Amino acid sequence: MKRPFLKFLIVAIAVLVLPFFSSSAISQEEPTSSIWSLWLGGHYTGYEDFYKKVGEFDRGEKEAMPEVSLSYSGYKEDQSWDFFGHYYDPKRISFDLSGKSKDVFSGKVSYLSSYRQRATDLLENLMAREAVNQENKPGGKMFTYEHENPDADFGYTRHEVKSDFQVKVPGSAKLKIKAFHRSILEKGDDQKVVSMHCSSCHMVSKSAKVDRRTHTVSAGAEATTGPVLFSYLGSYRTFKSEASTPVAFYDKAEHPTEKDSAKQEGYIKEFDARMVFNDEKVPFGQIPETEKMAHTLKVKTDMGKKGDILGSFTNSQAKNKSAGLKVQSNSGGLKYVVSPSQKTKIVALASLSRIESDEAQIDLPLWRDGLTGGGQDFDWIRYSNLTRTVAKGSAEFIYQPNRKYRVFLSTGYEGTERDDYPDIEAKGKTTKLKASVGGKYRPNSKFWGRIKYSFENIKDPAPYNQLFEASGDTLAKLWYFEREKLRYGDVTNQPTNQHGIDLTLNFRPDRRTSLSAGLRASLETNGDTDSLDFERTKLQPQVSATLAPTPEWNLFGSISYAYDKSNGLASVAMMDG
Amino acid sequence: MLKFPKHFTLKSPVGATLACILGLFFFLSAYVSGEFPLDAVQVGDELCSACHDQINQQFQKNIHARLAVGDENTCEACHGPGSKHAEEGDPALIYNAPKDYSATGKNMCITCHQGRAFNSWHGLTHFEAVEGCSDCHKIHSEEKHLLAKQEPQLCFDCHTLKKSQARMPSHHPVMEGLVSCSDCHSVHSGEVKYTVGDESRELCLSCHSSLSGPFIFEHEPVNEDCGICHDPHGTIADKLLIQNEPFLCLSCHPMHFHVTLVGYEGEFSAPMHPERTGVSTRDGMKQAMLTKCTQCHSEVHGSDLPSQSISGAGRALTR
Repeated sequence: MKRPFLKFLIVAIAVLVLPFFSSSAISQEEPTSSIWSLWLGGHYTGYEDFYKKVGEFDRGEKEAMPEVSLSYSGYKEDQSWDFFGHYYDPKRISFDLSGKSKDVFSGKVSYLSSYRQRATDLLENLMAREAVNQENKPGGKMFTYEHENPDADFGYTRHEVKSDFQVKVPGSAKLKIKAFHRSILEKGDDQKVVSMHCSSCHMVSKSAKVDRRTHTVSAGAEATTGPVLFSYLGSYRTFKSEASTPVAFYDKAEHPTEKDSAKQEGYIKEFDARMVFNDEKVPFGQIPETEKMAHTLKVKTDMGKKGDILGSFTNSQAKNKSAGLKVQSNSGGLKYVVSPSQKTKIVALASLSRIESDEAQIDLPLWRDGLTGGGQDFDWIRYSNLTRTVAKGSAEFIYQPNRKYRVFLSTGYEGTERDDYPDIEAKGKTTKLKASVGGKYRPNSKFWGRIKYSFENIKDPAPYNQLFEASGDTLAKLWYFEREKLRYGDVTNQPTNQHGIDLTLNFRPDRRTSLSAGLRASLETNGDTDSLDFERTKLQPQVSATLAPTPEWNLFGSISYAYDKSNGLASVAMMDG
Repeated sequence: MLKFPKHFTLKSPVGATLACILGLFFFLSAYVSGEFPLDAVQVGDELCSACHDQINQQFQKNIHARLAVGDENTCEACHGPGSKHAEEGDPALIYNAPKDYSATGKNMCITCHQGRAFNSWHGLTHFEAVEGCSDCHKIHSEEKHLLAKQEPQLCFDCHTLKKSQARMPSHHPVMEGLVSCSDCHSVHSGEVKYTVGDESRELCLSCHSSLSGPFIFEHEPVNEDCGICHDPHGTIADKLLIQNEPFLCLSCHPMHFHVTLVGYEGEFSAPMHPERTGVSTRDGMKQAMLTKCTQCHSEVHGSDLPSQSISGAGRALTR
């Protein structure tokens, strides 16, 4: 920061002025009470290089800004109300307003605005031309770029409004009506980059308006009859971008270097016959209008010593209104919790869900239509890998023979079968087997230690790569895609084995002091690939101490070290290399 | 096998320090002793406040006290009968939730707090790990939700890796106070992997709705799990990616064609578009095609618009 004096001045003023302007008052005439406080202050924001990176959410207004916050809370017998508002700068304002009456009605409304600075890609790496035959003779493959708005400062303001109301139906203390609402509005500008194939790879950066609007409303009820608790919640979400879809001109398909008119005509035919569109303006970066409706029903039954049973069922439908596609989902789950004795507890879970996503017919022009060796039809059906059946089951056992020891172990299964592909055999299924074991040792109230080991085995963690290629099987039609096919479906950054260790030790010699140390470690591996093995290691030791000499003072410090190493997989280029 | 970095061996300063800390904890756990309580009969709030006046004053503004107006046994409603404790003054002779919690026995707080949010409390990692509700809640305080600390510090006390990640260059604005841990996580219900009831993908889409689809041209991992490419708690790489481009993309996709071409060295202009100029280097083609895949494949989350080439079957996610 180049203005240390100004920074110092702002902080000094805030420190000196606060005692005079901050105030609080407590008036307490039982059973009514109210507490309020007003805080005045300020902050200084300065940026040097790379502010778009470090100031992503903290950009605000440059220079010094005043700040103010007000809080108020009060109650009278069985009514209470609270308010908190904070003004940080014109782009960051928040408030919460809540109230409760007689444990019958409760409501909350909140607002939060913030600004998100977006990075600008300078595209400077996109400047290259091939050298023919490895000599320094310029060839036909090249990259160039241009910025239509080189000085643009991209970013958008986000406004979020939430409300939450709950009412117990008068005369029926066991029936509760609930309603929620949430709106997110994002307005500003963002960078959009589009390529101008095909005579050369020419990338153009454009400024595009951001005007995204998400609204969610939910309503439901909760009722209790005897030991059974029912709850229903219906939720409806819509998303729409009010900004116009940007448009880009795609170059005429022609050879990038050959200017001779006779040859040029042939090249235009050759390149044109490989393109879906060229020499025209087309929209890009289109954001579809979507909506989602979900219904969730839950039931809980308290069976006394026989335990609790929880059941849930959710039906949802999501639509892409722009493309006319929909996804339907039904899922159900059961949970059983029982304590066979004072020393043991068992938790069993099972769930089954089915998601069906619409298929889409993709119609394309013929490949190199009318040219020698051409005429292949690349039309295909896009099967969705979102179409699937997911089955899960788990059991957990906790044993606590006395207050000093606690042992827990669990095991689980998860199977995901993607079956919307006509000819994939068993490759579309991912199976996960999970297990964990741990214990907690607490010899007295001043010390406790906990250790947990977990393991997960995953079979076929990423079969969707292969499914992707099967979706229409277009690759078999071109020789170099055939070579790529050997690699797709085999390589992934997803592990087939995961090990994790979590160790925590705590020592609290008295009410004022506590010490803690811990270690977390994990290892993820995948040795099933035909090429390099995948491996990722994470380690994190930490130590922390807390000292609270008086109820008003709380001093704490901690140090942690994070180590994260993964070996990425890579393969050689398929063409020209 | 788990491969520890060199500076974690016992001979290294870091390793030796860790070993000393472990040894110290085990020594202290054996050396320091404590007792657990018994029960008795009720004596009433007035007697409790005679000794615990400071707690009593603080407690008057607490929601529990306000709900219990007119009740003379508010303290014992949670602490159990206190006659033996009052007679002998021994802290061990009264129920004290932090000390007397049992993971398999009855939880005093859940006796009243049985709402929907607590339906799934059983079986959570929190349930195994903590010593009851009082690990996070100060039951006598007047703080919001009776929390011992406010978010995110309360969560960071245990979840130290997330604390580190929240300070990484790419992060959700948790430290800036614009997002809180409980916006995504429900520590009480945690129906799906400790998140707020929805599947993790749906959770992300509730805010990032523009990416929800369904799209005509899909990117399969997007349908699977956002966590394949993103770590929501914070990353070194941009846009919460678990690895920088192009390495993340190359972990599933082969390198692009043309990538290994030797570059022309010097200034150039595109013959068919002379206004498009540049300076190329010998590594120029690699720099162009092996820096950031999403410069061209910008619609990586999915698109309804076909890309340009027929051979790519329109699914290159470039527009």
